[in-house]
Amino acid sequence: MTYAKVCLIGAPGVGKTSLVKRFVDQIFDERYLTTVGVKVDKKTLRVEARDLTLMIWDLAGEDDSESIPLKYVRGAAAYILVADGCRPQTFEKAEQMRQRIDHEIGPLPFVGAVNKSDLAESWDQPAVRRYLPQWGALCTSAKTGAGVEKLFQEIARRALSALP
Amino acid sequence: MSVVSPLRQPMPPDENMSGSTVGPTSEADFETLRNLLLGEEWVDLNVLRKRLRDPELHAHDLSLVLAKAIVRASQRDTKLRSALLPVVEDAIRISVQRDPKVLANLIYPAIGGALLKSVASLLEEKLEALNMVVEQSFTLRGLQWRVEAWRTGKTVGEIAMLRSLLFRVEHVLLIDPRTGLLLARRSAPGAKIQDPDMMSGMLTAIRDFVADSFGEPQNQDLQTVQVGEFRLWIEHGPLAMLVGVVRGPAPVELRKVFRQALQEIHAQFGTALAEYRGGDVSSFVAAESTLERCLMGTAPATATPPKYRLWLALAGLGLAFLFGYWGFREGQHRRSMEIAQQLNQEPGIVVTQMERRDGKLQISGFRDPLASDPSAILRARGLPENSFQLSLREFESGEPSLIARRQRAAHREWLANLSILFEENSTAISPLAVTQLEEVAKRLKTIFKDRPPAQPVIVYGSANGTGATNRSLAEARAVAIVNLLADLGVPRQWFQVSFRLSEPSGDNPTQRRLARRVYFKLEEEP
Ligand SMILES: Nc1nc2c(ncn2[C@@H]2O[C@H](COP(=O)(O)OP(=O)(O)OP(=O)(O)O)[C@@H](O)[C@H]2O)c(=O)[nH]1
Ligand SMILES: [Mg+2]
Repeated sequence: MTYAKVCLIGAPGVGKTSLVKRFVDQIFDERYLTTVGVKVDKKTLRVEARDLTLMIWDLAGEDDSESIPLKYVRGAAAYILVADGCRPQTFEKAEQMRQRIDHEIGPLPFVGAVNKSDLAESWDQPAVRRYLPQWGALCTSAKTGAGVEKLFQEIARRALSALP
Repeated sequence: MSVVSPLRQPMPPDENMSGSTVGPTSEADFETLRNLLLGEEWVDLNVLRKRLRDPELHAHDLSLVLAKAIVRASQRDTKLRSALLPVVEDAIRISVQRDPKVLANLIYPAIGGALLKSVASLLEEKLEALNMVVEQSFTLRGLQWRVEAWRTGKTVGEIAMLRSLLFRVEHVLLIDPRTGLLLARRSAPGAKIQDPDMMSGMLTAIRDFVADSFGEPQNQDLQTVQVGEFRLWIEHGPLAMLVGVVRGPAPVELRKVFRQALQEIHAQFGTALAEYRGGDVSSFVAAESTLERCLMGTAPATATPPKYRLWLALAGLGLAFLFGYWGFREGQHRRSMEIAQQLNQEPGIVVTQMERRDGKLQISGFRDPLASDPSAILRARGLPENSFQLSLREFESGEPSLIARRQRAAHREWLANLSILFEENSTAISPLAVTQLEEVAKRLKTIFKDRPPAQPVIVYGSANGTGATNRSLAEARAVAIVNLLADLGVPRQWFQVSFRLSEPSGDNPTQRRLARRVYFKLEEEP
């Protein structure tokens, strides 16, 4: 069996926990319970004709890129960088976090996710137009499930190619 | 008596020197002569000369005897050692400068062993103490263990652990501490585990979290976590961690078994572990036989299977760390939370989750049984009694003050369970008793190192039967013990002598033996 650790990183409330819940348990909850510390989940999926078990570390969102605990990110094969399409500052925070990881851990493969696509009419167009191509990000909605499967397939693929 | 021997006539000198006229006349002749005289040896000599002059050949020859030469030289005197010392020191220095981890990881198995010998001589003692208990209890089972120990070359203590009915190691997991991924595992027959992968990840996260909350990761590594009826024993190595899921009260010696297994795994899989970044774990399958040896104890499973799934319980442990988001910003409430958060500064208390429910601040986390009372602390800081609800699970903290306290508690327990036996009608102290008393003296000195006992330690002597004679016999036994302890350097004023008499206990030899004993009673630690 092949395993990989992946992390979800982003500002508070962007929908990291919701994305994991949607992917692992196929449910969505309107309530917001902020994550403290980290929560670990797992799911096995098939990528490139191999079974890969993703150990998914859902980290607490931080407002300040300085305070994301890199300790939890170490050992990850890849990570998902999440922003909330409606809030431009969550893109900037995500980008700062990405740069900090690059700087302190080294360039790790990542997949960007612009979340809450069910609210696309109130998305912040300039931010989305800038970061969507820059990160090569996917549009996702934990609420409707749109793009979620694809997001995790993509992260699994990246993780797999990052493994020795 | 004299023996007449035939006379020897000296040879005439010119006859003796007859060959001296044949002298070397030229180089060629000389060569011929050498060949004649030395024959094949001359050829050998030439080969040898060539070998000595050719550096390649010479090095090859030296290499054949080098090891032997070093052994000889170091046996003779210390010159070689002195000569090599600066070279070796330099090499180590350079290696450490380049990457300290290389050397640290290399010597971990060795250092681990050395540490085990010195630091954990405490554990050894306990193993011996366990031996002693077995030796004293001359039950059939004790005898079986001894036979098995003799047969397998293990100590009686180890066999006692392996066969113990008190506890059972249900699962052993080998985890990569960086990724939190499960590398290998082994379970006792019939033992169920829901999701070991998840457990590995979460444990790693808890470990990171605890290390985070306490700073200093090395010394504060999480060592045990209580989960329902299970206790997780965690051993940390530089490249892997080993987790034992244990049901029932296991002896501290079990740690030694785990530690040894982890060291062996480091020695065997060092490179594979160091290089692991995730991915295929099949190269660690071979570690399973080492893990298998950690599956000690034979405690029968409880009749009712646990209702919860192990990892779910773990999640409940505070890994989800979910705060109720609503209301959490209100000033008053926030203040209470800050006060509760300060509990984290108490040794042996970890708050992992706070939540406002039913108008109360619900605080959950861990608490070492030896830590101070958290609700008293909260009240003292001004939180009204009914404004909070604590639900703290037991865990064993790595805080130095608590470790010392726990050691003292273990010593007390050991003392409380000790019996020193006497022969019929005798106050003479047996050789076994002397060894026991040396141990008693050592432990008493540790317990009362910082302050002498507030209440004296009561030394009870007992005798088999009532009446004045038995009473003075019982007392004399207690006095003899105190005298010997005083000789071993334990202050006499720490003790108070007393006696217990019992009705004569018939023909049962074990009971009769046990009635002739001295034992100790200590006040609880305040
Ligand atoms: N409409 C909509 N709401 C979403 C979506 N994803 C998450 N939410 C809501 O956004 C809020 C925050 O979601 P979480 O998943 O808890 O956010 P998080 O990133 O885990 O937050 P932290 O744990 O605090 O870092 C919740 O109320 C979710 O219901 C989405 O795709 N669409
Ligand atoms: Mg979350």
